[in-house]
Amino acid sequence: MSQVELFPGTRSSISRALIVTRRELRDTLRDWRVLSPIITLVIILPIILAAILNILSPDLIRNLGRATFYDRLLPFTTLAIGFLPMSFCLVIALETFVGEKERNSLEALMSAPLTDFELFLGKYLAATLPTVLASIFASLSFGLVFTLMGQPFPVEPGLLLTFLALNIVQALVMVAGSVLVSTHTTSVRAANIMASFIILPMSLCVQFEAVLLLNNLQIGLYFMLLVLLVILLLLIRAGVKIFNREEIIAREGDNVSFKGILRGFGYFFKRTPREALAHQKTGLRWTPWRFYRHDIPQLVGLYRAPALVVLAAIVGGIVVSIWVSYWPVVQEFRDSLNLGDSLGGTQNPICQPNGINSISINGFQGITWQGLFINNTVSVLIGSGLSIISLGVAGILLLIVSTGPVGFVLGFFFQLSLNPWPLLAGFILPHGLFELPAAILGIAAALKISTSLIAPPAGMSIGQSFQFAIVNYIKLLGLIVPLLLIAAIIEANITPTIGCWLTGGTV
Amino acid sequence: MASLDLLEFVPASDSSPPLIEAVNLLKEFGEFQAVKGVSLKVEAGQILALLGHNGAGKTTTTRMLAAILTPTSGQARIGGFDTVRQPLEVRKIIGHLTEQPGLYNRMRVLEYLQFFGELQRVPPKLLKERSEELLKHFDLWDTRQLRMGQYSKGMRQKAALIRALIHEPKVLFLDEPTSAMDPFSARIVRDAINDLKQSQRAIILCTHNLAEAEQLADRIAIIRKGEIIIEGTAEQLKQSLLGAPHYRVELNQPLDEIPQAVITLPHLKVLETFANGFVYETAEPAATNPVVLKRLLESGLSVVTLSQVSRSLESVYLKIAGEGFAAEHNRDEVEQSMLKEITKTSRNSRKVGKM
Repeated sequence: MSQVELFPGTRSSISRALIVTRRELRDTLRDWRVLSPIITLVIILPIILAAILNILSPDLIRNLGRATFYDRLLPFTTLAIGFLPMSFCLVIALETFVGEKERNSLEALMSAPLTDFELFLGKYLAATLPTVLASIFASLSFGLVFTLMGQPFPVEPGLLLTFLALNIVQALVMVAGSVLVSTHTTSVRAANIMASFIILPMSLCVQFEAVLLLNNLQIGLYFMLLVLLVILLLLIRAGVKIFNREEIIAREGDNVSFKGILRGFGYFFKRTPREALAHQKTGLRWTPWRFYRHDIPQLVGLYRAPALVVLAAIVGGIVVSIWVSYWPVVQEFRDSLNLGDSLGGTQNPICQPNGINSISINGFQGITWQGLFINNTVSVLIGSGLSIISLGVAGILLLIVSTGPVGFVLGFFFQLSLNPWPLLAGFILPHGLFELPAAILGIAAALKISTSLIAPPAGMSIGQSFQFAIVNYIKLLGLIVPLLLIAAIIEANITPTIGCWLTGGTV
Repeated sequence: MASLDLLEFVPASDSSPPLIEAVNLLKEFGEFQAVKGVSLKVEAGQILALLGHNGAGKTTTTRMLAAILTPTSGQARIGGFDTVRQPLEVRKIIGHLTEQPGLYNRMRVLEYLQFFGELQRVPPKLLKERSEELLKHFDLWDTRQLRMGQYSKGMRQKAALIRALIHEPKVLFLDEPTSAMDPFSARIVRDAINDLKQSQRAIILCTHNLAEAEQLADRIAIIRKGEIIIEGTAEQLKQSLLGAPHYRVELNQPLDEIPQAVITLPHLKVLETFANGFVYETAEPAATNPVVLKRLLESGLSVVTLSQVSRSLESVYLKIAGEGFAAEHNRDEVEQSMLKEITKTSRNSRKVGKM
């Protein structure tokens, strides 16, 4: 009976990738420039370190205390010694594509019947295996040598497994980053320079792990493991998605051309998003009419998915806040505030005579549209900036923090059997109709800037994709800023009146 | 030299489509057009030579045909497979000898062939036999224990060629196959290419070696600035660019004057006279040459030889390349650079004269 494959072609794909892996590994194992540092770091250094710690152990125990030496210092040494070989193994990963290109052997390989995925997987495995094995071997050899010297094994089994998992995932992240660098540089030299962008954050990771470990916060290590796994998945997805054999073969220089960059921005500014995505020549001349009639509606359509992600996060945040408001500790806090009357609206400070004038926003006394406009615009810009550097996470968190109190208020209303809708309809809805879409679009567009590096549109290089996303963000400001302005004017002049009227107070 | 026995004869029927077919291939890198509308066809058992300067677009064209680069527009089919939609099928039936051999220096040649053979799914036993056969044929068998980093340039080129042949491809793209080879090795490679042609492979040969192109290729295409500007057999190119063939008559006595009966022949134009003969041009040699001989004999002149003046492909290439160069540069600049060159040459010859 024939065997049915779950994913047809997967086995043959993996087998072809493994042919590449085998060749690469054979090549690596014959390179003494790679082998000698690895042997030093996984065998010689652990032996030396174990011997030193063994000799110094009486003094260290006396000075640091037994618990610190055995429960903190030794585990951290085991973790750190597993990290050291990784940075050297990066040489292998950094060379995967660009090294072959430099040696002119890449074109022959690309003429072979391999898919992009098979080629990427083969190279990735070849770079990963030495790195992961070196890391595990270094940690274990330190532990074993230390034990052979008559000492207890430096880490308890559970923690050792966590360390190994952390180091393996770190190795995978570093290799994935390096392979990504290798596919987008034109020389090994350039790839080595770019490697600092991988080694530095990972070194910070190790330092953070040290802090967690020394403070006995093992839960933090699990959290780090989770974050690193997410980063790994993103990097691998980016690696497969933006792997482009054509670009690797055709790219000839790393020269920075400011003129070229400006030309790139000009290219995307001149075209509507649809024209840019279809690589078409510009049809309509740029006019404010074209901008608001074509560019903006197309961008809103194009950013529907990220906007929905942001919206879902906000809704989720509100729901979670409602749920949290039922926690006994939060209810106790609610009772201590004695919110009953003010939630009813009659004691809302905004609805009190001169209540508004006592508030100051951005140096403007009272609730003025200028103060609100500056405040909200700066918030959206900060949120966008944070989104760009955090793959949207920080921007979305900021939005959740700003909208989360709505959830708490709703929860409190429900708990006190009050009707929340007049408050929401009066104090949030009038300006929220403009402010919320503006904030969502801003964060969504910023999210797109960071994801543009991971998944460029078809036919665009990473650089072009990044430029396209930045131009789109700037274009969207043409909608976001007017929306925030309208929202601020409404919030300053209309919202208090409607809100107080609906909740039974007066301004 | 034995021919390549392992490369089986692949019969081609008259109705079978060309093994290599490209229609209007265009490749843009940003705003730069590397290839502009190249169309070509190569049937089984044919060699097409692509001639052109460095950067003319030969490599980009072959990379598109080898399904490494995607054309910006246009279409190419190799062995009936579309290079964009069926790149894997294309890569299974092509052998691609790249401009730089680009070997893995720490590998031995047998390991190298095994690697590419496995990627091409050649059965292990056959792979072993074929590797041995090819290595022996190209005179690399005795060096199989060396790492390829120790190979000379010519040996590297041969190893790369064997790699391109290891899976018996129907289609071959050969970029400068004999560059850096000694005359003996180059001869082996040229013979091998001829054998491959006999076994009904379709071959595109990119070369700067014009004699080699003339010797091996059925058709020659000259590519300039991404466009094929002329294509045909070597003879057709010579005829269209250098005019009708020239013939040289040598007599066994001094020639005072060419007989009127010869000069007045239709389709004949005398180009040059010398002490005991003359050179003429005719577009109809089959009809004209026998009459020329007859009339000369009737005039009492004994002909020692009547031979075609050989005109190399190089003249054709230089004519086209020269036209291109002049068109691309300001005429004054060209004249200035020529003047400088002449001045330098005459200065050097004066120096030699003084020595």
